[in-house]
Amino acid sequence: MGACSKIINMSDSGSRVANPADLRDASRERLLAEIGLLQHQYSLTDAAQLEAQIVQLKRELADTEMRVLQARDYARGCAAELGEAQANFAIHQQLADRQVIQARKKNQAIYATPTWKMGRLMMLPARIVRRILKGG
Amino acid sequence: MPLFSVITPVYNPPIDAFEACIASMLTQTYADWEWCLVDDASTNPQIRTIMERLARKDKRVRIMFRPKNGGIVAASQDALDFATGEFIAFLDNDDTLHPNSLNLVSATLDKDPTIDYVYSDENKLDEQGRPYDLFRKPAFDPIRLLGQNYCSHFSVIRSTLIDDVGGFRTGFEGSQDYDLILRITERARTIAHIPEVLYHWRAIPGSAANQLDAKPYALVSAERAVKDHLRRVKIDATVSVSDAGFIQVRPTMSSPPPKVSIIIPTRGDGQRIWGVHTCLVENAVASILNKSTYSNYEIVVVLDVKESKPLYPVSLPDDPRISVVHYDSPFNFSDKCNIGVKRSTGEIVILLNDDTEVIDADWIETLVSMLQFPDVAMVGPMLLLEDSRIQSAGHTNIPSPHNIGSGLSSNQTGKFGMFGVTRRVSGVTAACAAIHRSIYEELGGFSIDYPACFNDLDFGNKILEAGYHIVWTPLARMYHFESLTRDPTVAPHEMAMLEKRWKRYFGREDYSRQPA
Repeated sequence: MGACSKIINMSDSGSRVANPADLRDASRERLLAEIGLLQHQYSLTDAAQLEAQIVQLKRELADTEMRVLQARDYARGCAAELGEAQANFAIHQQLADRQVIQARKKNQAIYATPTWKMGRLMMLPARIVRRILKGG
Repeated sequence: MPLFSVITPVYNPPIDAFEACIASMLTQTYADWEWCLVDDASTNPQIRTIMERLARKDKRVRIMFRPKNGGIVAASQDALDFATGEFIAFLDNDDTLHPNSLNLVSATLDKDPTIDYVYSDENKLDEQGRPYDLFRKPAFDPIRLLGQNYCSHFSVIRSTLIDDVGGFRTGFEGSQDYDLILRITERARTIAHIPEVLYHWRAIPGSAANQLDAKPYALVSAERAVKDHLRRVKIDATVSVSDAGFIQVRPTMSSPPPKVSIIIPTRGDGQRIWGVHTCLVENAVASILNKSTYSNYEIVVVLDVKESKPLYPVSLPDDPRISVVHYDSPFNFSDKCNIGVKRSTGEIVILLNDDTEVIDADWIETLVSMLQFPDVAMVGPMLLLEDSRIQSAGHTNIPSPHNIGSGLSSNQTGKFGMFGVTRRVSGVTAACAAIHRSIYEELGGFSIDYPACFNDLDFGNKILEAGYHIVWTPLARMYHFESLTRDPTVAPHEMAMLEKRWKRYFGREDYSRQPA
């Protein structure tokens, strides 16, 4: 540690390394310290723990893959339901169009009856009066 | 409004049948046609008289008399050579057309200018002219066409396309029309099917309509025509003729053969099979190991371990190809299939029920080879009950989704060969189905919303909706001791789910329109 603190002090002061051997010693010291640290960390996490972690990760991966599969099915299912809704909509639209056409035909038939024409004629004065009043 | 040239080679037809044929042409509701009749040196002098009288009566009739008999191919080609219409229609000298035939074809052609080939449904007429054997054909199915000339009558083809492919070919007598149709389908931009009976095929003694072996040489020609076709479309396959007279095509397996994963979901139940109490999954696995000739496969057994009732003690052979996955959730067939697929590694997946047993040793080869046809996602085999009646020959949606041929004899080839030819279907049962793994995953596998029933119907619809095809083949056979393992009752929510997704297809069917 002595060499190390010596270098720090030297760099702090901005001066040069007096002896290159000191620099080599400092690097060696630092490497030894790091190796010691790693060895300590490894002793804390033994192989069994790592294996358990791998198993857990594999399980999570398998679960995720299953969820992806289900999500794909869900998307396909939604598309299918949309297709079904569109098909139903088309059927109902056709039905509605047909009903509108039938209603129009029915109206035309009513307009063509003598009763309707006579009623319309009888209501003519009233319509004229209403128009005059509106215009006034 | 195209001009139709109707082509009819004539050779000694029965006079009454020929006159019925003429009457059906002259009563067409569509007027823009010409009829090219070529007499192939008929020995009956009445034929010439009738034809000459007909040509005088109607200017649209064009006749030609060959100086000597040259056979049907030569006569048909002569008729083609002097046809001038935009479309060529084919009519045999003893058959008849529906009065609206040409009208309906014209209406169909109007809908899409890219249509090059149209065919329709047909039926047969007996000697008294009574209709029978109504053939409701599928939408164009190139795989079924390899097994039989199901398009046949009534066929209408764009004349320029016939010129392009070179017309009829000599050496294919008896199947010259099959050979032509195969060549046409290779180049046609669009092929349309009219689901109406536009053609009545007269079955007279000696006619191919009456019996298949009436013209044995036709089968030889047909086999050669299919071989030629496969060579042109670059499908390497073995071709043979079945005893029933259908062409059997098996695409050659890619090399090296792909790894196949056989997934067997099971609860480990035991039942009586062949009179002996048997563990179903043990029986299924033993039949695979003992009978299959395919080598590159693995078996993944997905075994329930959370059932309340005691399980049959499952004992599987000690084989490196077999692995067992324990399933500890409530019963869900779909989920079990999905887990099995995920735990397997094969390029091809075969879903297999535990209540099945292998019949044909090359069943894996056959299923896998059929998956090599373009855009085919799933293939199913012929499934037989314990007494060898059919359990399933694919699915149909008419009138509602169900197994085709269920309960019928497997000794019969069915109506129009539907149990005898490989063909497209709208689904196959998951009791045995081979699927590309990539497509299985792309489509999200089996939906877990169907724990017991309809999972295969749903999956089949997903395949079709994605633009792929499903094929059923009689060339691979399995026993399926159906519903031995569970209560066959359908859960209402599963039916509701199926309807919510696919009801628009119920009662509609592109492939198996024939009731069975």
